[in-house]
Amino acid sequence: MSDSKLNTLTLAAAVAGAVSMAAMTIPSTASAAGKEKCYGVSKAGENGCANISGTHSCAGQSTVAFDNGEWKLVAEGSCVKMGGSLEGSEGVNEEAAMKAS
Amino acid sequence: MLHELQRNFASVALKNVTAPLLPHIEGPAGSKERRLGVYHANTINSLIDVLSDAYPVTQRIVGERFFSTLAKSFIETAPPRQPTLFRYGSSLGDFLGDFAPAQDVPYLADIARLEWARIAAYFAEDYEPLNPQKLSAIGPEKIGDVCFKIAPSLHLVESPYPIFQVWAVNQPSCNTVPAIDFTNAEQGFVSRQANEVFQHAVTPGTFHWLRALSDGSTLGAATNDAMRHDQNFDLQNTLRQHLADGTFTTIYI
Amino acid sequence: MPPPSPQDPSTSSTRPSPIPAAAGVGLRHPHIAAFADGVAEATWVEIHSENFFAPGGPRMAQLDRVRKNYPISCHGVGLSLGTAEGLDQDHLRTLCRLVDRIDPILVSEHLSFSVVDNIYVNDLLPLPYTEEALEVVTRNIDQTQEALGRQILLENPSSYLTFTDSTFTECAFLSALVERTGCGLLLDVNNIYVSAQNNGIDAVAYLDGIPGNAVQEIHLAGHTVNGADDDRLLIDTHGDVIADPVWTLYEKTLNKIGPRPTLIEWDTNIPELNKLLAEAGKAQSRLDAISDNKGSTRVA
Repeated sequence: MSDSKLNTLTLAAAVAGAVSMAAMTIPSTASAAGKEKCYGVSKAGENGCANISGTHSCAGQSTVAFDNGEWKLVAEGSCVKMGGSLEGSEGVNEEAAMKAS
Repeated sequence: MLHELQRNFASVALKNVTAPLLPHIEGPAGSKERRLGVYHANTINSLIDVLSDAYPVTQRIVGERFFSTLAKSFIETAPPRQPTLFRYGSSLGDFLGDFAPAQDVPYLADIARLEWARIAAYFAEDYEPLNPQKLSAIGPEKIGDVCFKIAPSLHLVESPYPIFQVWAVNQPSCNTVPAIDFTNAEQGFVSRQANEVFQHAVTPGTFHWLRALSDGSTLGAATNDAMRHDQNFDLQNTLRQHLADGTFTTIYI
Repeated sequence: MPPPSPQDPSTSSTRPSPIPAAAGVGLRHPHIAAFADGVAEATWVEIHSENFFAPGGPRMAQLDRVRKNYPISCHGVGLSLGTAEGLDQDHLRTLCRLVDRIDPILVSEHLSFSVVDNIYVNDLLPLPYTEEALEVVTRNIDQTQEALGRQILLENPSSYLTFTDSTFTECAFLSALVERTGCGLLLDVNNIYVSAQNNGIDAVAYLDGIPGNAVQEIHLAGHTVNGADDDRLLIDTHGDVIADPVWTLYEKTLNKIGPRPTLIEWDTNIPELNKLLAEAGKAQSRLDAISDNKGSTRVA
């Protein structure tokens, strides 16, 4: 299919092939199971973020004051360790990429 | 009268502007401020919690203190417009694109967009995935004219940065971290199948194919579009995987 | 169950409670799997309605499973019955859909407002108890009961201040709403205690002012003490076990109005399920004691 002009027969053959193999194809949700999440395959829903997001409650908050200090706003999470290489074209080495936690 | 008072109370809750309401509150002056402050703290802290639940990776990347400050700023710009908090925060990605202190982390806005796509997929309507056999009923001469209705949970996300990788290495369960080349652009999709949200980075060809189909292009036009962006676009395997992943709900001509 | 006639308070407010006077717990995310699987030892559960306003997805699927195992009560936090600008009709329609979907044993909302100029303030903000507010809340409750085709319960708020504008006490305001709309009451005993402490009101006198036969549900929760002396404020955090003085007030409530379905709310620092159920157990033993004293039998 490297020819950029697509002909009807090629298209029909590809669709027929796809349909015949679809039932045997492992869905992404299943193939993601057990794989290392850090490689971009996520069996999501597991981290629970969406499970609790936007949850209503009628409770008050125990914190009744704010830190409105004039400190300089600097990102200080995992980006501090990953971010050093943002300008460069080299990959981050493993140590540098290690997330802050 | 009541409406005016409620307006003033909303200003207390969202912005801690107390002056207009003070004459309406019982008690000594210092005490009134403190009491009104409880409503302000309840409102803002609970909304910060809502945002940090929705954006765990964004928060992890910038740290809790930075996140709560940017969240406060976001809440001021874009307070909730409807009383369903699982829909609150959808525009955080766009906000971060313009948020000066976040410009040191240029991929942050796209990470937030990816996280919102996950929320949107999670809460999307349930649907029946397309039965692949329906495609068999279409004659070969018509197959190029087929259009697909896309699953309500499917969301496309693209970035000049490797956001799928950055998302992945910031998962709590991720212990080994592969090297990330920040010059790599990534594009992909988020969807939900069998009650599980999943996401995949895909090739530019597949991405353009999905986008064209989402926009209502015919299979023929979308495939041509994909091949223009990616000579090696493989229709058979791409379609096969997306049929298995429930990307489509119905077909029509 | 026939739809209530909101205009006739005598029938709706004295109707026997549709659920047994047993202790239930608020359904919170960390415990939802146990309830979906039906393994949690609880009589009934209560949800925050708005958490289940999505058109689909895993959370809704889980709710359906919970419903198969437990009676559910819908406790709304976003309808904003006190809002002067009228109810959000979309919100009301979505609430109707949820009620149709799970057929809850009770539907309740708060005496508060949270919507102004189409902005949703995520807190239960207090109302001044004035004639104008009474008209507004009456209209909004009427509309809600009409849309749902059933009675709702109205919960007394926890408050951190009082308004100089108020011409009614909170009890008188609630009583007037019961009379005008035929709504029932959800009496939050912790809220009575928190508001009474914060605003220098006598909690027992408050209790005496409540029309007991309108109360169809009781809430209990933990609170947090913030500051000391003149600065002392109790915050309704739902983040701890129920405080001793609240248990005492609960016992007084039961003695006065008789046993009622009682719900434990725990929303922040959510504990293990067992600890939550243990709080429900403490409420249950008080319910059992009062039922025994009154010679009535509890339907378990």
